[in-house]
Amino acid sequence: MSVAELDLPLEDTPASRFLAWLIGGLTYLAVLACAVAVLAQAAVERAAERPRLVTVALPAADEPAQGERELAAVRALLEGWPGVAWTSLVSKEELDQLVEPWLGKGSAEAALELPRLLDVRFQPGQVPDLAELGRRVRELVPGAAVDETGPGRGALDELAQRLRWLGGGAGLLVLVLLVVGVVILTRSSLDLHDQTVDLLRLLGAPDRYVARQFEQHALSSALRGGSIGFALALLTVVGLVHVPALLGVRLVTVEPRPLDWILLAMVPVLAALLIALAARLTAVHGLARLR
Amino acid sequence: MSNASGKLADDDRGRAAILELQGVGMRYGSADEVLREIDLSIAAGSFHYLVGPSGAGKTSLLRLMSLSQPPSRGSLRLFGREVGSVDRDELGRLRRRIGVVFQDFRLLDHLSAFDNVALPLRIGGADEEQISAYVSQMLGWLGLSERMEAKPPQLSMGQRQLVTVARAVVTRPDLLLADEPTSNVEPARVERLMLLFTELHRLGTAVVLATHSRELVRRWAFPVLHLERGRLIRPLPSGRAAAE
Repeated sequence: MSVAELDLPLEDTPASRFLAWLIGGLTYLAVLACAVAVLAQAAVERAAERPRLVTVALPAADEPAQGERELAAVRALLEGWPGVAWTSLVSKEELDQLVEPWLGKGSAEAALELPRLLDVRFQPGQVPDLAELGRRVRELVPGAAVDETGPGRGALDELAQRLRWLGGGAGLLVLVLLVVGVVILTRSSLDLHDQTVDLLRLLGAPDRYVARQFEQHALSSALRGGSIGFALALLTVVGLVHVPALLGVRLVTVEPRPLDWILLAMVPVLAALLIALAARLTAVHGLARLR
Repeated sequence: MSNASGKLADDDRGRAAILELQGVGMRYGSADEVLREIDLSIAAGSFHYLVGPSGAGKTSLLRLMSLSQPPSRGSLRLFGREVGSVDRDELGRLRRRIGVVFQDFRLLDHLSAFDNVALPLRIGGADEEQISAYVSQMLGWLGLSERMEAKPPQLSMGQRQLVTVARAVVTRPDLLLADEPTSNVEPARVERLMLLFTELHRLGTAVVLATHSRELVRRWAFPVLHLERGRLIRPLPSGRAAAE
């Protein structure tokens, strides 16, 4: 005798067998979508932790002595600014190299007056208030400019944020589809097995007993299908992260952290709980209709 | 015999009625009534045969008594409760006190004989140890020890009937309704079945047994409810019913 055997022959229909495959496929998609969200979140956090590099440009001074005084005052301000790791004056040679593509070799030696540039590096994780910094620098040296180095940094952050929402939204949508599929299959199973349901009721089974049969079947299908879908999704994520790197190509620049793996593992668990609940509530509702 | 109110009743005066029907009619859908003006009282621990020609309404009356079909009119009281006014949970509780031997068996083909018999015990919330003991004992007593793991399609008609009987009596119900329970069973086992039914009756179960078998009615003498064209007629003494 098997205690696990259900009174209702729910495993014996093509629709019921299809349920585990449906759950497996949709769990695979849900985990992948959530992996996109998780990786985007990791990218956002990693970007935030990268040290910020800022360039302060001071216009050329009329007098060399005045220039020295301005430079000293600005350096003192920067070195006292919260989160600044170090400052460095861009040398004349570096400056010459920077403008060479536009002005030609030796232009820095010519009469052209070039601005003085200061590189400022912040501690990792520090987000500088560039507007305030620029205001304070301009109080010391009118016409000075403060810019963050690194093209498209803001756009990358925004892209990562959008991917996070998109991945999370797609994962949620797949879970909703999963629940809708389970509701439809449970309804059709209830109609298909109405004779057996009738017998169980004649033997005195309350609706919660019959509904539990649908719940148990859905849960076991969810655990079976969900495990397979999750395993395949994990293989896909690991493959996307590591296999191209082994071939010398890097498609994904961030890897899921241990906490991310735990979050992804919660997707099939959440899906299984939702599926079991959906099956139970659909059965309870359907049984009330069958009265 | 009739009681003071003209209701057909059993011989067990003084015992509380567990099933009472008053002016009951029953129809399937919008067809004509298959049962008409049924007045009947079944006392706790009584034993009745239900006889009548084919199509007289025996199975319909048993369906009515087992709460698988509602009356189209009249009053049906079971275990002191008016059935038409109970909620779903209460209906389930009432049904758990009834054992039914269906004429068409209604076994679940995907479950073993053991699990089919265990069904009412599991529904009632018995623990697996208890279930194992009761079901094994019951199937053993009916000579099906070797067939406990067999599924209904692997059993003979007679064995299926025995499994159906075992499922109906395993909870020791207060009311046992049996529709032709001996019709497919080999003669040697009929005696064993009747011993089971009479033992249950002795222990306090009210039994209503629908049968076509005159032999049965003659050998085990109990009051007879005679159904003719959907109406109950005066109960006959066992011997006379058998003669008819």
